[in-house]
Amino acid sequence: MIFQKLILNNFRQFEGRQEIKFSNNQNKHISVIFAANGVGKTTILSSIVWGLYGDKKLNYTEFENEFLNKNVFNSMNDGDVSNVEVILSFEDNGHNYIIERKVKVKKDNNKQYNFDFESKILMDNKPISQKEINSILSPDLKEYFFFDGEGIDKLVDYRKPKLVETAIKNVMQIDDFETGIKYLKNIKKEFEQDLISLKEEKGIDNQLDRNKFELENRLDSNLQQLDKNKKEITKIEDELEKIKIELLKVKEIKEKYSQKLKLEENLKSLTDNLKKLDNEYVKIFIDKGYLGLSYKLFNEVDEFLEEKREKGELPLIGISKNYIEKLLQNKECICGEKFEEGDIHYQNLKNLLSKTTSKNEIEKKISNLSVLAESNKNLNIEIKSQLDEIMDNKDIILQSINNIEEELELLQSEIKEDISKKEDKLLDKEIELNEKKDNLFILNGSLNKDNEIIKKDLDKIIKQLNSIKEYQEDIQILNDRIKLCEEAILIMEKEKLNRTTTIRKEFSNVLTDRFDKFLHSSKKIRIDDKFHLIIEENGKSSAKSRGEAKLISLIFISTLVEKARELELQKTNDSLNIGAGIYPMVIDSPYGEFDEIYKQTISRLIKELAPQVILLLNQAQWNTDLETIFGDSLANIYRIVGHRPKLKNITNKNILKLYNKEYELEVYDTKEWSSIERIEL
Amino acid sequence: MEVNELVKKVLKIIKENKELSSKDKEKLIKAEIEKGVKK
Repeated sequence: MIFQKLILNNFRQFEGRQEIKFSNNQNKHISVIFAANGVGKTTILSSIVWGLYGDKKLNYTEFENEFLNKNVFNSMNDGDVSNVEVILSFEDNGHNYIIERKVKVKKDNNKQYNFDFESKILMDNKPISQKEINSILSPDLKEYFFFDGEGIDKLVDYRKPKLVETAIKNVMQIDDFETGIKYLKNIKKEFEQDLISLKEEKGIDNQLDRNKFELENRLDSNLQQLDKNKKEITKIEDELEKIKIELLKVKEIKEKYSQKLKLEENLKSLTDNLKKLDNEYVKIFIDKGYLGLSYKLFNEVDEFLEEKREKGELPLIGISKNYIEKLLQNKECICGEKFEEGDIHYQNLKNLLSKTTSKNEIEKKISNLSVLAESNKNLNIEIKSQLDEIMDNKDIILQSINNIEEELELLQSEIKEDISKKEDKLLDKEIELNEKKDNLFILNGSLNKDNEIIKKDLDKIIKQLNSIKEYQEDIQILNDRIKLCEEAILIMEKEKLNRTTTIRKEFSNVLTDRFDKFLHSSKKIRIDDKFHLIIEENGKSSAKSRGEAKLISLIFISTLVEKARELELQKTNDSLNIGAGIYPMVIDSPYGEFDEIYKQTISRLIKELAPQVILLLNQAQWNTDLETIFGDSLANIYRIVGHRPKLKNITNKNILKLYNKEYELEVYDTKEWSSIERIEL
Repeated sequence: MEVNELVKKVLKIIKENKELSSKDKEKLIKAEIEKGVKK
């Protein structure tokens, strides 16, 4: 925190608008405000603290309720209202802050009645809360950074070690570790409570795991049995398929046999038929066949007779009795051969002559025979055709029988055993296998049923186990969180202890060194376990003079500011050092009743340690030695000019001597008020 | 979540949220732990 500007408007002694710009230059870091006693040094301190924290009462003054400038107040009528305003701007950690505090003051029975306190707090022109300001510099620590040198020795009062402890812990962020530990312990307790609730909620032991194990084993065994049965059934089905094929063959053979038998029957019937036809044919042939067979003969005879007739050797119609008698007389046969009496031709002619009555009757007879032969010619052909057909059928049947016999022979050779026995055997096997298969199906059915039950039970158990698993995961997570909290608490406690011990030790060393350096004293200063600031001489507690106490306080505060700045500058993202902030020191009359050596000592100390120092001094506290000590570090110098009616006839005014120049700190005025003026060196 | 990371977060939350109540800061830290250690 480095102050930039302070604006006062009708704030206590300061009438109208007054402004102070503080130096924020690292090398020129000391601003001094000179004022005679009673014109507003402490009011500046008070305005800064009000600006920062906005209390409804003013600090560092006995007139804690009097915000409004007296002149303004006096000019008001009873019931009138005026505004008081303080505007403070500062920079911290790269951000610009502007705080505006306003309060309305009503004149009420000649007293100031404050109301309507108003605050406007901006960080980089964006509104923020008071808490953010408090987080930069806790109001608890205001006395360490904005203090009245007159009472500073109270800080090291052994009766108030808490102040030193608070300062160290707060500025060095040890209290952040303490707070962190407290929070983590609370959070850890919450996680532990969650864990207990979770365990209570899920009162499940390992019985489920055991049940699951048993069911899974049973299911596994059933599934193995089912698999085995399935394979067995497949095997049986393969065998049954083979049997089926063989039975089909048997059936085929049987059919062939039956076919053969039928064919044989057919053959027999055909053979019988053939025989019958043969007989019939023979009979027909015997009865009428000659007609058919003599058909050509009759034709030839007829043609011959016709020829003879045409030659005139025969009478035109039939063989006459005379013609035969002539042939007998000429001993010449019809056929032309010469014969003797008594031989066959002679006998035939004689026989013919005896049967012939007339030549016309013979011819007639021959002609009738020829007609008969002609009519029977087709009958003969028909019978012949029928016989041929029967013969053909017979041949076909015989061929079929041959084929069947061949097939049967082939099938028989494949079966190689008696077909009936084979069939019986196959059927027996088929029955046996089907029974086996049926049994396996029944077994599988019960196994599947059992598996369904197991699966349902397992589902239930798995659901329960999943819930347990989830709960176990939750338990694990809670345990991990608790463990993380425990580890973080350990680290923070260790770091807190480390910081406390180190800082106490470092503080003791630095304080002793500085005490020695600035006072050339062999006394040792240490901070004990109870955060008492102890002064020791030759190993024994030494009484503190008020001056020593003030110096120790100043050394302590400046050391605190310096250590905080060190921590702030050393902070990195990787370490647990979260920084400690940079703080200014606003000191009202730091020298108090110190002698010149003390003054110089304190001045050197202040100059060296704080990054920004605002000194509020009266003219008597300043001298050329201090000019030398502060030298180039001085940046902004102001004087508060006290306007005082009482100075009308007084020439002995308070004058500031600064770098060989004189500046009035008091002037005569008809009314009493203060103004602020910058001194240009 | 590493323990040092948590410690840094705890300190950061405390330092940067001074306007919040203790309970709210605890909630923020708890949320960080829950976020850092989860399923």
